[in-house]
Amino acid sequence: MKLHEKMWDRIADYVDGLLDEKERQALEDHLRECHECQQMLATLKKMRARVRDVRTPALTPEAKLRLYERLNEERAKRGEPLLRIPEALKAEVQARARVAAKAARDISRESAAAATQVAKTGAETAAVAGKGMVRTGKKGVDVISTAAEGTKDVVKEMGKTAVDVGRITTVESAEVIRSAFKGPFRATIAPVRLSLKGMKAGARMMTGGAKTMATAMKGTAKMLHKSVDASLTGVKESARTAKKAVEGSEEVRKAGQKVLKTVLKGMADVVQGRAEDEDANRGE
Amino acid sequence: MEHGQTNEDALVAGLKSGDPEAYEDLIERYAEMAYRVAYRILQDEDEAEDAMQEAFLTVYRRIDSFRGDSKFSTWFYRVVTNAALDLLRSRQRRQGQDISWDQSEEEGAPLPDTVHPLPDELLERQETLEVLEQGLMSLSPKLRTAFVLFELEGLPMKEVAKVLGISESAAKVRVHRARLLLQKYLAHHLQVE
Repeated sequence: MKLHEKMWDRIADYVDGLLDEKERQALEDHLRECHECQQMLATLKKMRARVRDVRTPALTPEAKLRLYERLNEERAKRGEPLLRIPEALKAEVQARARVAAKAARDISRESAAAATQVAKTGAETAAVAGKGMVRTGKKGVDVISTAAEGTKDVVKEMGKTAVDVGRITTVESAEVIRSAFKGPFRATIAPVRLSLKGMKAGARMMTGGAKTMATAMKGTAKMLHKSVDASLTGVKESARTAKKAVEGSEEVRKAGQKVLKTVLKGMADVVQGRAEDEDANRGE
Repeated sequence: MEHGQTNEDALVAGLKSGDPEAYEDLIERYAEMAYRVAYRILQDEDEAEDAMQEAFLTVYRRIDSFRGDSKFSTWFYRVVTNAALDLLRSRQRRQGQDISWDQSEEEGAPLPDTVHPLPDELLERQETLEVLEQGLMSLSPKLRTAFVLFELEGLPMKEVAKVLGISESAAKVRVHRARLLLQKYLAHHLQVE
């Protein structure tokens, strides 16, 4: 929905009371029939009211006192009698200054306490995290040494198999060939013996392979076990650190809240000049 | 009214004779208003205080130039707005901003062709106040001053015209334009279709 500027001007004049009787009557007649203009009138009235809600800071007693002093400076230059600064104004400024000083002291005290709390919490959390890292690190070392041991076993088993197979295929086969030259019978059964040696080597290789595999699996299982242990330790330690951090944050939050509360109270006291009376009652 | 006028005449007579009591009376009666108007134009508490002090010093130094053609309060409003606008010019000069506030710029500021009514719900929101404050600052100094005097200080349009040293119809144009631009600003920043 929109309205042309001219009509808007007329409605604004109406709101401002700038129309003469005839114009006012004509506009009111129009408003009774025009929904669009009724809405615009409502907007203008509402906007006018809201604009008056926009905050304007009040003149502070300090600013007023400085105004007196500034005028007095000027009058002193001309040798004219000075203005008398009202006693109530001076008292108000002094009271506010005392309240402000007290608020500053309170805020500074609470801020220092909060800073100490932050440092303490930080150190505690760091200590917990450090211990956790050491514990997790030890478990990590276990995993590595288990892996090394497993690898050593696998290599040993593979070596044994290779030696056995080598012995069978070279030394034992050479023995068969050498004995073949010793007589026609031995020469006749040599191929059979050689194939038997080959089969023995094959069987040995298969057994060795199976053993190597078994050793590797055993090593892997051991390593997995250690790894799971290390991970669990890591998770446990992280949880411990996180718990400490959360507890610490809560303390820090409380300390921060205390500072904020003191700041707000200080500001309210400065504005209202409240603490002055409290101090006076305490004989300060 | 007559009693008020008598009071004002007595105040002016006292000021002209340099009577300290008259200046004390001036401060008690007008300091709050001077600070408020200066703040609304400058939107800065320190500068508003400077403008207020400057206005009172101007009264002290130049009260003899007040001939009584208008009410003293009108004259004083003029002194305050001039002090605030001078400070605004200095600030803009320091910040290297364009400080030409000529007539064409004021009267010819681009206006929307059409105006949209704003929903009540939107005007009642808390954030609307902040947007309104920013909107006030987005107005040119002349439009803002006219708007502040009329809408916030509640001066009659005739008085606004006298304070600004322009015709009543020109004052009305400034107030209307300010209001129209504010409405547009609100609609834009609160995202009204």
